[in-house]
Amino acid sequence: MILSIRGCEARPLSAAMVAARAFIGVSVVTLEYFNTGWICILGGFVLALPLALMIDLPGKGRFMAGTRLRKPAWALVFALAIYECTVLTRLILKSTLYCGLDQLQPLGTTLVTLAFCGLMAVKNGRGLGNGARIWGIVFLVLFSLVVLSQVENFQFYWLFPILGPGVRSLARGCLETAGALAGAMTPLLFREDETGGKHCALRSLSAGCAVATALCLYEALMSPSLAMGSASQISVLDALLANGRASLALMLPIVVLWFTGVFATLNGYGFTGAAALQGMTGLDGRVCVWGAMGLILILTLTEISSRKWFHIVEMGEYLLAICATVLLRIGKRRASP
Amino acid sequence: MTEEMARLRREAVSGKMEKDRAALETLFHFPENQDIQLREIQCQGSRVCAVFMDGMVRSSQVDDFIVRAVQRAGAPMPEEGRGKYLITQVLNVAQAQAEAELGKICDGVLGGMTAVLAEGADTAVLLDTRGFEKRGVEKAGNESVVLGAQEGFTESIRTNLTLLRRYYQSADLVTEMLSVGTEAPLKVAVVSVEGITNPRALEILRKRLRKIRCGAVHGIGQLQQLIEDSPWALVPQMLMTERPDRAAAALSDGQFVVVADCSPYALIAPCSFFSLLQASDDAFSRWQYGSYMRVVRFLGMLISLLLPGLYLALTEYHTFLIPVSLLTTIAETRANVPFPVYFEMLLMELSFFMINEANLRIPGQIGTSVGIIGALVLGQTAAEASIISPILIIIIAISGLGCYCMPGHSFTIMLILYRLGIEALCLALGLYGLCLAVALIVCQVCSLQSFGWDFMTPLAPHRPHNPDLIVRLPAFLQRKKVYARQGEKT
Repeated sequence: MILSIRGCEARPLSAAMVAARAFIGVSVVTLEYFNTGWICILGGFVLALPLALMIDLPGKGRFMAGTRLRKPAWALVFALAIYECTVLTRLILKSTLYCGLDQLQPLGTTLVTLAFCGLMAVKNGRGLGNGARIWGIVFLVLFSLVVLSQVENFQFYWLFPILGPGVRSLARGCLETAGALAGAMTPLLFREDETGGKHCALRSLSAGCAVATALCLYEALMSPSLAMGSASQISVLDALLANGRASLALMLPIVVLWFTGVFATLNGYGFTGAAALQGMTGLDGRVCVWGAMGLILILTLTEISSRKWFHIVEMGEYLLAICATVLLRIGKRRASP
Repeated sequence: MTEEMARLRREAVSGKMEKDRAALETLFHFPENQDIQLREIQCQGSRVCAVFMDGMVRSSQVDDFIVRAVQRAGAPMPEEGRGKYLITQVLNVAQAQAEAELGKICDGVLGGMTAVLAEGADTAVLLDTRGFEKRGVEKAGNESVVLGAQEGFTESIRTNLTLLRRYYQSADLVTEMLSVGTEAPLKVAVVSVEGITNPRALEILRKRLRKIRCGAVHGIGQLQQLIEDSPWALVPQMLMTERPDRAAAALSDGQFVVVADCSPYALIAPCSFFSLLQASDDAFSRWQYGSYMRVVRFLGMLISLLLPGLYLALTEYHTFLIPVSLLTTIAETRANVPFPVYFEMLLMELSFFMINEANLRIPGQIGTSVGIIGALVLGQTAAEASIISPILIIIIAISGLGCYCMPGHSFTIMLILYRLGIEALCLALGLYGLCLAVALIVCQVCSLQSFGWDFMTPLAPHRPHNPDLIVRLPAFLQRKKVYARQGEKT
């Protein structure tokens, strides 16, 4: 089995990943950008543009050139995807703890999550890409519902001061977001054809960033920046899900949006990791999928934490993605004289 | 079939009456097989033999236009071209063809034709004398509509093809007849429209039909399982209909129709998820009414799939998400119920399935009583006896109703099975389980294909289409060629 994805499927998958990952990055994982998260996303978008344009350069095929540079490139993508999957699986564990599922065993939850992720990756790019498009539609419906029912509670002055945590911190936030966005564009490296249309990466990046910005603005409009004072992931998630004032009925769509968004991103990275592993080793797709899931399971349940170097790792993702794309591009040029 | 029989089937008519007759007798296991009739007639001194299957032919036609016509032939048969002579000069049956291969003659006789062998003729004559008992065209029973045509397919392939021709009157309508199965071949007709039906999908179908190696294919349901893209998937990837108007509408949308003998249904492909949700009266009624009915159906599907699981997740794990007034009501109604929610739900679902199955199997009049007993006695008494909470009965009843809003039976069963899976995951993981289950179902459905076409087309991946998926806009806005037509981008 070859893990493959068409252009028309990679685009919505990447857009969904960009939207969810950027939002998770600036609003939940790194708290200090809280009410200025939307600026970080816009800054990250500008920084990620060169990468998108590079991915969009003309040239068909899976970017697989058959050169010596191919394997290191896929290794970089693999490392990036596995790291992201581990972060997301841990995030899911924390979310489930908060959302009334605290009696669940972490091992059981992780196993089920990764089993589902693996099953979906085995469905190949068609299932994941088209599923991401459906998720986009469901997302718009649920989000519109949430926004419309809360519009009278919005406090526009909570968006200010725009430079909230300071210019230096904002710049770092933009770099980190660029790293998250770059990672979320990696499924586009595997696209088999150009059915995604012209500027496939640019379009998915723009669409994803627009959605993530809207989400961040929504969150900022509903929560005072004081929330960052009691900085803990759970309290921010609390602000996001319950928001202190959100009606109980409204929490349901938000919880659903949250879980489906994080899970969609996990699926995208899971697929990317498995496909990169296949690119490196040439093994059967199923073996790669379950191999990658096993590795993620081990990493999720170990005590290893990247919290100390988190900012560096996030920024490093940007460089990793650029390096991988450049390596694949060089390979492509050499392979097709 | 033994090697000897297979060899015999491949042989041609020799022109020697004794030998040909013996070959046919062997093929039909005569004289053990009493249904086969071999009637010898003299035609001006030459031996002629009519071979037919008792009960499959119209006797009067054989008597008047074959036996009597041969006996009253005005002149002796010529030495050369006796088969042609019989067709043009002697036999009075409109549909007649010369056939040399014994296997084909055998198949013709099994289908209700009469084979006429003549001494010295190197071909037999196959005459259309079909006259077996069959059901007439009646109202479609399982796919009834309020507005629109009421006729349904029957068990006769000929009648079904005629119905299709009546609903789609075009010279471009092409019917390919073939048979599947090696031991008891089933007659299958592939109906398509030249210039409209997607040739790629048609080619895939032909390949799959050719690949069938079963001894016998029992009806169109089994045929569907043999030719659809993913037989392991819960979702049917071909649309089964008993309505000729629906099949004709599919033909004009670029889909092909497969009709089989002895099955009052037709298969339509390539089909999308949305076509499974559509009924034929959607298009017949005004666009507002049609859209309204579809939206109701779509909501019914969602409620049926998600409501029981959601209730389970909320009551088991996320009680904080339930408004206080509702939570109080649920708590009050459950106060005297000794079982946990999941057990109650399992009990209720089982009762519902059993009532449903009993209703299907029990003869008509009693079936209605079973429904009433199920609803009143089981439901009401169980609630009064505090075995099941009334809210749960309401939830199961609503989700059951949602299931039966669907136009196709297989789609209904699919919803029930998916619902059970969702309930299991909700029980294990609450709302997170619900999200996982929905994500997996969406991914599974999106990964399917129907004869080379993505199952969620034209939504995912997006393809140009008419405004006719869930909401149907007026007919004058439906100008685009639909997704399955040839020439459209795949």
